[in-house]
Amino acid sequence: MRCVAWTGSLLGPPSMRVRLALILLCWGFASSASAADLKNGRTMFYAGGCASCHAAPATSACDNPKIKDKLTLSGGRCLKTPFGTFYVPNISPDKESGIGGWTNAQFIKAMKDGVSPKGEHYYPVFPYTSYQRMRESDLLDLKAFIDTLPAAKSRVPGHDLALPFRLRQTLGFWKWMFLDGKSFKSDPKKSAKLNRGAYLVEGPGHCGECHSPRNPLGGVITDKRFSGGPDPEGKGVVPNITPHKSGIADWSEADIVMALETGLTPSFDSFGGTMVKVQENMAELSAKDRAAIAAYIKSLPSIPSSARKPGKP
Amino acid sequence: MKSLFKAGIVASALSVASVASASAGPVEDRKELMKAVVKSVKIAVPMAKGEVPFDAAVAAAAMQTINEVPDKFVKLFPAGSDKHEKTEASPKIWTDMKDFMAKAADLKAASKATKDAVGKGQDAFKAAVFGSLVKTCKGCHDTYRIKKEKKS
Repeated sequence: MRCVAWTGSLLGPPSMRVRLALILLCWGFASSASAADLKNGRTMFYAGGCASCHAAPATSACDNPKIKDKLTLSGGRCLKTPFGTFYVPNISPDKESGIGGWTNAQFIKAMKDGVSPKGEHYYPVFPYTSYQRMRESDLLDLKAFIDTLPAAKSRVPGHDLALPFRLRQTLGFWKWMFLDGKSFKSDPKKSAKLNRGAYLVEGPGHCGECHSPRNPLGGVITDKRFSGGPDPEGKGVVPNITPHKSGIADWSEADIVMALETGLTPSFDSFGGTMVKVQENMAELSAKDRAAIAAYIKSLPSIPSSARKPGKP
Repeated sequence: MKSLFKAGIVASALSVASVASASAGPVEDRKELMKAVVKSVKIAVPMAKGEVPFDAAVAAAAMQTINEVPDKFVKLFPAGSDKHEKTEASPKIWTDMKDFMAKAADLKAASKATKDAVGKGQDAFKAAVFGSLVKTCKGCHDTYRIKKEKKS
């Protein structure tokens, strides 16, 4: 595992193909010696919120926010967005329906480049724009953890999208615009806690995917990240989580920790919407990781809310 | 005795009956009921966490307040009241009213269970607050509440 991380850091950002070849080479030498860290894989699983989308909905209603079993990743959930309806695939370790037949390299390519083993672009509703920041060692631990979960067969419908978006080829252009291919780099000037928080928030946690406004092409508006935005799935808003007065300026670090742990805000309201599932995943992390996330969130630049005003379309 | 007195104050401050008398419309009324729940949670949670001394009578009174909310709450969702400018109620309530009613019943059961746990001490109370009560809040808000822009 260390070998993989070392290869990645040594090379900086070379082409994916070169990097993958080296990783595979390295993996060949290392795999017999170093087993995957399943505990870390579990952490990545919950930090990444895989189950929130990939676990089957609790009932036959594909948009039921409740899930049947968070460890059975048989997919089938529908996400209704302005671009059309996405149906979430099966990522259980089943060889036919899921990703059981994938190699490590294919898994990394999916998570970092948003490309399937067949070479197709994934839609960025799968948040590879954040997952690309993840360390390859963490991704492989995550894959090893998913491999321990139940294999489930399922048949998931194809996405139902409006015409221009139906053409996956257009996603090449989208990625050229919005996928920078950079892994997370820690900042030596900042504490280990802040770096850990930054990694969890920017990488696996993909907080900015919902808590940021997007431009008409569906790319996150970089200088307004974390300032909230309209809920992509409904009529409400996703709150500003920067320390602005229209955001969570009045939340202390301890308040954020408590909210992530229990789902209660400092005003003793409960979380709602999809944040409930996010919070339940956050509750599975270590207290140290939640504290790191809170510290990083408090350190974000203060930005006025990008969430839409109530009543406006 | 002192504790009972405090419980009396809590109960009257959170009185659900007083909410209904100051009726302004279903949306306003249901917001008031939810505020009464929040006030009670605000009393219960610091006690459960041990930040405030555990007071059985006060904790029980807070749970009683919550317990009286659902029966009144479910009557405040007439057809058309999803259109109100200020409501955070999801239109899903009206398309899945039966399930929404079941969620209200869950709150009644959770507040009763949490009230019952008061007599078993602070640890049992804490377990009920976080394991049952707060979970029930989230279990309805995840489906039936739409977050609107906060005023600032």
